[in-house]
Amino acid sequence: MTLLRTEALSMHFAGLVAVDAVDLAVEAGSIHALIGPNGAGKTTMFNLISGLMLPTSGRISLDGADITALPAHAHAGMGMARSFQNIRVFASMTVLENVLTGLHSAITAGIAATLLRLPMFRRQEQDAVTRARAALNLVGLAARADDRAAALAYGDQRRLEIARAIAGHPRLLLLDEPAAGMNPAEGAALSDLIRRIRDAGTTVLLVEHDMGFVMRLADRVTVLNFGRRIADGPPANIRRDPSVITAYLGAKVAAKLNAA
Amino acid sequence: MPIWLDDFLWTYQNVVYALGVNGLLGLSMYVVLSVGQLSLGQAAFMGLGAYSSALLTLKLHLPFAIVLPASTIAPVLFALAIGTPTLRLSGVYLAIATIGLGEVLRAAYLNIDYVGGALGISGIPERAGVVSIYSLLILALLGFWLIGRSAIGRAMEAIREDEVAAATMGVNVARYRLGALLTSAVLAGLAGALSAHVSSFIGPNEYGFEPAVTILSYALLGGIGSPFAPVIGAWILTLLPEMLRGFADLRLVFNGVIIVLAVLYLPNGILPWTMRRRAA
Amino acid sequence: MLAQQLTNGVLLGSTYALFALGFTLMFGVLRVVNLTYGFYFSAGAFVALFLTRNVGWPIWAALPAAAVAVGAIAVVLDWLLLARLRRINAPELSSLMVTLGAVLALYAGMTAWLGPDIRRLPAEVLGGEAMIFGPLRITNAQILVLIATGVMVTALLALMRLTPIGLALRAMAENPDAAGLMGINTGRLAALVSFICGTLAGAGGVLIGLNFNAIQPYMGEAMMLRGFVVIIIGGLGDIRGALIAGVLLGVIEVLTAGYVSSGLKEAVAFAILVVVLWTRPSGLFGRTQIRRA
Repeated sequence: MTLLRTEALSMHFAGLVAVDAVDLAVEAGSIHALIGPNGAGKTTMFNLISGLMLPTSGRISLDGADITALPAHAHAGMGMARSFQNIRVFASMTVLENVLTGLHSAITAGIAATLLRLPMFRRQEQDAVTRARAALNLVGLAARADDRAAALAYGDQRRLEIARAIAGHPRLLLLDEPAAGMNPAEGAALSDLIRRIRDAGTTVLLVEHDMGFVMRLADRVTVLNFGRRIADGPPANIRRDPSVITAYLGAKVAAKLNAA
Repeated sequence: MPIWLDDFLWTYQNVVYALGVNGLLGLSMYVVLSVGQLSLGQAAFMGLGAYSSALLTLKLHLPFAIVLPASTIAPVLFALAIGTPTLRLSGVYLAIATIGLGEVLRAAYLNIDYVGGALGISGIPERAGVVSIYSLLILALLGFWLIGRSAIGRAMEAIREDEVAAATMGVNVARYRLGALLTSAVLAGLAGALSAHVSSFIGPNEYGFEPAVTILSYALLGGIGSPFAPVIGAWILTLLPEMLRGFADLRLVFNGVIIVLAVLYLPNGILPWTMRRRAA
Repeated sequence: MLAQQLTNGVLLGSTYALFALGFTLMFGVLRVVNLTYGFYFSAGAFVALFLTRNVGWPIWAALPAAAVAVGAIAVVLDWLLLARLRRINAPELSSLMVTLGAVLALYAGMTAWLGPDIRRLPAEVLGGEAMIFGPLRITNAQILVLIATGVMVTALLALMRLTPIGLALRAMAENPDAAGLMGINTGRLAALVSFICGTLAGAGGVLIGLNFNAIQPYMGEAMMLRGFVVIIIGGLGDIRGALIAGVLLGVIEVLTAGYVSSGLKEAVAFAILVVVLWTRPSGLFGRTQIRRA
């Protein structure tokens, strides 16, 4: 079953075509990678899918429902969550409060219930804390729950972002360069974490630069170059695809490789 | 009431009223700053509350129990007219539009004879007092404290830190911002009605640019880590000129300098401690 | 009658345009809503008042001297208030707040020092009889306003279109991302832009002082409202928009005062601002991209 689908998705910025008629189909229960050289349009794709930008044309659907023009904040309620390439944790809040914010759309108590501290409010807050702690456990930050997010090291902030995104058990998780700045050991632990997230029932779409990381982890890979989709398939096929090699290494090197 | 307290209240009545009213104004600034916006409409909202309540009391002879809640209507309508279009844009627009509002209302009060023109409105009966002012202040503080320690408080903090990330978490940023502005208008309107009904006179120049900036200085001096901070900020800036009466001319210079120094060197105010953002 | 009103409106509006031009340029290039801008306006009027009344200069000499003096004040204020915020890359509302606090302190300090009363330029500065052109009556002050505004706007446009630094400024005003690509020393740039804008606002203050012959510390505050209206109608950072919107506002004000009520001219200006915010938030001529939150 296809969970996320984009059809002929395009985004133009004042004369520049960042995303050009891209079709993408992410299977439910898979780990799907979106790769491509710098400026290929990967982050723009993420911003379109998560509603931070409105596409120039094309259509996005989640589990069959059209979400093309859905405002950013409504995506969480649809079961979508994301992380950012440049870390965006809420620095002044504690680690636990950050993750609780990720559960915002699971808490329905309104102003009256909050002011009156109704049983419904208490139950939802307690439930949220339980789920937030579980997410922190999963990423290995449980011990830091009451520290300020700003006090965490870079790699821990990345894991906090993931915990915040998965706390609400989203159907689809978008990870924007989750392994950036990590050493091989941290990268391996991250792969492990992403697999566990997938096994818990969340479909993962990720943008990543580190080719080895992607090839070991992804079930399916889509390659973008200059905003166009140039290849799509299982990692083994992508690795041998001549257009991908050309895009990454340049035509000259690719020709040499072919000749060799 | 013990006699010493009675004496104290009688002597310092106006200061006691001003502390309560300015505390409410500090909170009305706090709620907007809490969602990362800057509104300079607080004085204008206060003026709308003061004028509308004075007219309801003097021209329609309504009881204060109706006048007080009704004083929030005009500020809320103006906040909606200005907030709805600007809160979708960058924060600069709300700030600019609300500074403009104060100027325009001042010119309007001056030129409309029905509201007394340059003479303002005098002879407003003393219907408010320590009880009404301070019970509202305490209720407002309690409300912000309870809201702060909940999903709503976390969402507000998240918006202030990073509106894009907050939206991704499912926070409807525009709705929160409008809600904060309307709450702010309600508080300022109430403060205006209360102050009008303890001071017997209101005039067109009391709600212009200077009070608007002074209200901002309350929140910037105290900080916005918790709802108590802006109230303390308001109290300090209300008491200080009382003690330094010789320098009355320089009171506004002082308020302005406080803002400059707070923004440049004390971005979290003198009470930087933040409250816990959860109930459990 | 209508022709006279329109002439007065265009003349008044050209001063608004001059004032708003600096304000919008400052926002466009430095990305700062600098509220001390209103103080430059008051300062310009007071420097000219001092030079004409106490030193005895003619107005044609006092005007440029006041403009340059205010330009220097603007450079100093920018350095005192905003240099640090630029260095730490503070959010845009910080610079708005800091200049707001500063402008209150400056107005209040000026009032404490010079008094709140309205002052007037010496009678000989304004010069004799008004000239009659057919049905139109134009005072010498108005002619000076026309010449000075024309000269300054032409000079600014020439600077913006013909010199390399002007072209860079224009590119930056129109496209904020270009600022980083230009590789211009931001400290020196901020000083240059502050100087240009201070000069424009200072000259605006002198000219409005001439036009209404009323000088008072808080005059810049009332002017800021018009500045806001002009730059929002024209589009934040849009130079051409500020020119057109400035003249438009002057005409609207004069017509409102002439045919409706002079007490309503501020309200009319503000109502236009709110309508524009509702309908065309990027300005009437806007190309400015509005961010989708």
